[in-house]
Amino acid sequence: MQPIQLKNICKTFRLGDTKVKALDGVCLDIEPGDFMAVIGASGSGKSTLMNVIGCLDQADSGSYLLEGRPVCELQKHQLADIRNQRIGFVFQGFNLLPRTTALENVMLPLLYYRGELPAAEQRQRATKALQQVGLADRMHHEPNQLSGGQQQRVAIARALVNDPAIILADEPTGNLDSRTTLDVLALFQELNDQGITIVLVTHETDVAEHTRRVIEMQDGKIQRDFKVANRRLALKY
Amino acid sequence: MKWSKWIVVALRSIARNRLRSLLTMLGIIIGVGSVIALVALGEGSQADITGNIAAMGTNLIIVVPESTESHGVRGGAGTSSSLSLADVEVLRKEAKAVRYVSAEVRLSEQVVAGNSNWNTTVQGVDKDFLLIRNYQLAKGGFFGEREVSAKSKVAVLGQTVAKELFADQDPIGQRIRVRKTPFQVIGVLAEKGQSSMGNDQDDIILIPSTTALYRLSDGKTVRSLLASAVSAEKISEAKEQITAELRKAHRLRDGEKDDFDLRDQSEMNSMASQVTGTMTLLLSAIAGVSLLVGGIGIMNIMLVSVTERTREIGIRLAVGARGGDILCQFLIEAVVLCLCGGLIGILSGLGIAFSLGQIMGISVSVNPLMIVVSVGFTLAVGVFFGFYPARKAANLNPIEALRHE
Ligand SMILES: Nc1ncnc2c1ncn2[C@@H]1O[C@H](COP(=O)(O)OP(=O)(O)OP(=O)(O)O)[C@@H](O)[C@H]1O
Ligand SMILES: [Mg+2]
Repeated sequence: MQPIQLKNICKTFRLGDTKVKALDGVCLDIEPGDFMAVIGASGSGKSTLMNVIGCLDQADSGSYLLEGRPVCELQKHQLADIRNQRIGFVFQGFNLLPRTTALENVMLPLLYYRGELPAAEQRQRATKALQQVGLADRMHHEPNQLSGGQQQRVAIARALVNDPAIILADEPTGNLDSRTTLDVLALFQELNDQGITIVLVTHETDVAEHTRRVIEMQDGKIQRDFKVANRRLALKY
Repeated sequence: MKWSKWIVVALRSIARNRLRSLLTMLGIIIGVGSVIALVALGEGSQADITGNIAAMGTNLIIVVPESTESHGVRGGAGTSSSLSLADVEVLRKEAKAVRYVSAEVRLSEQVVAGNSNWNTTVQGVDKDFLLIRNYQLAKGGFFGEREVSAKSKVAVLGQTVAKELFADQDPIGQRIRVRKTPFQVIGVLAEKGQSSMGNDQDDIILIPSTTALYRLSDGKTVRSLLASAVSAEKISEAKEQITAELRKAHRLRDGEKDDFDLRDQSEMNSMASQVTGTMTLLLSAIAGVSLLVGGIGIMNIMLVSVTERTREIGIRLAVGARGGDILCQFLIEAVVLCLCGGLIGILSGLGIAFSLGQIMGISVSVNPLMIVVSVGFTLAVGVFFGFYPARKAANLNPIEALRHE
């Protein structure tokens, strides 16, 4: 079963009289276990697409099947549960809770997990996620005590903590140096090898070369869609 | 999901936003505290005054001479210009609705006993004075008809005087001197405390009215007559009888104005409640304003933080919080803040009321209704402005909430 099937997705923003067609009839299938990069000029609709896929925002028209479920017909609390259990989302702007430690930020999705998850295990999982992004020593720092790159990695850890089936990352390496970028890519490749579907937005061709498939957006449309011929492997330093 | 969990989340969020929580609570504390303190003091002093008027005597009617000014206008018509001891006799005999009558002669004197001396009020009264004014004897006895007609030199001391003149000694049987006239102490009054006007009702010496009038002063000035009606219902009847008898005794012709004036406790009460009513109104207005100020403070803080809180809600929604989870958290937060603030407000309000009451010598009357009203009001404000924006935000989709400005 395909995890993500988009058909004719449209999303228009209205600002006064002007209309911005952020998504203009997007059709996209993503295979399970795929690792896809979304590239394109600024304002081409990449983030909007990610938000729709991540069930954070709703399309104006079109149909969206997520793991066989019609997202457009689901209720709010069902969408919340999908975000909580199936999807890990990394925001372009991090969106961490202020005045809250990295550990607590990472634990946040577990707080809303509908089922028994003892506090000790929550902590353990969050710690592990932070270790995976190399921030074990910054667990008790608050966002304003972390660098941009460190905040971005906390956001990545938060996306990993609930063992999602799909990871959606909006420019997850935008603030990282090349070495940390490679670390994150290595982590993503490792998770992808375990069967997790990953979609990431990037501006860097370098990063895109580490994925399996690339789509290019332009004015809300998919311009190009191609397999990466020679996938580069990122080795952890 | 479990409530206990959301309580923890809410408490953590309160602790995390310490300044905001504190400012919100401050609004509540100021509102609730000032209302409770002001109302407690206002009602307390009102109760004090009514209590004091009641304590002045049982079914008390006070007869005072008509002011000399109005007399001056009428000129010397040949009628008696003041009250006299004869009036006491007349009322005692003729006014059927009056149970007790006593004259009152007041002198301000220095009293000497041994080496100590003390300035106090020496009051010349008749045998039933204690019953009329609700004084009790602590020790010894009081003078009766015999002592009054004999102008005996006996005295009954108030507690303050007894303490000042005799300290720990037993005053009974001791001698004191008032203006060189020696008196024998035959009794000591029980403590009565302060009056509504704040003067010490125990700073007093009682002697027979005749003694005061003929041995210590010019024999004319009876300050007032105190009468006690047979019952509360008979007060107006007693007043009519007193008026009639005194007019007869003073030989006033028809159409001539009374040369005396009557007051009873209901009049004193209504006079006092006019004064305290104005005060209570003023205090309530101040209390209302502070409640409003507190409410606006809460509203301000809550509204200012809406943007930040909406973003927070967006983040929580994005990682999978349901709308209901958010509502739980924010509702608990608002209620906890308001209740904590309310509790501190109640305690500090009562604290202020009691300590001010102590300092100013006013009693404090706690009105549970005011507590409920003020806490209820701040709770409503706090919950509305804390919870209502949260509810709106929880209904947004996460991206909208995250973009909120
Ligand atoms: N909430 C919104 N209101 C109005 N216009 C919006 C809104 N969100 C996005 N847009 C518009 O939709 C278009 C696509 O925006 P989007 O954020 O998807 O671009 P993007 O490809 O992610 O760009 P970038 O690479 O800079 O992040 C832009 O023109 C943007 O101005
Ligand atoms: Mg973007």
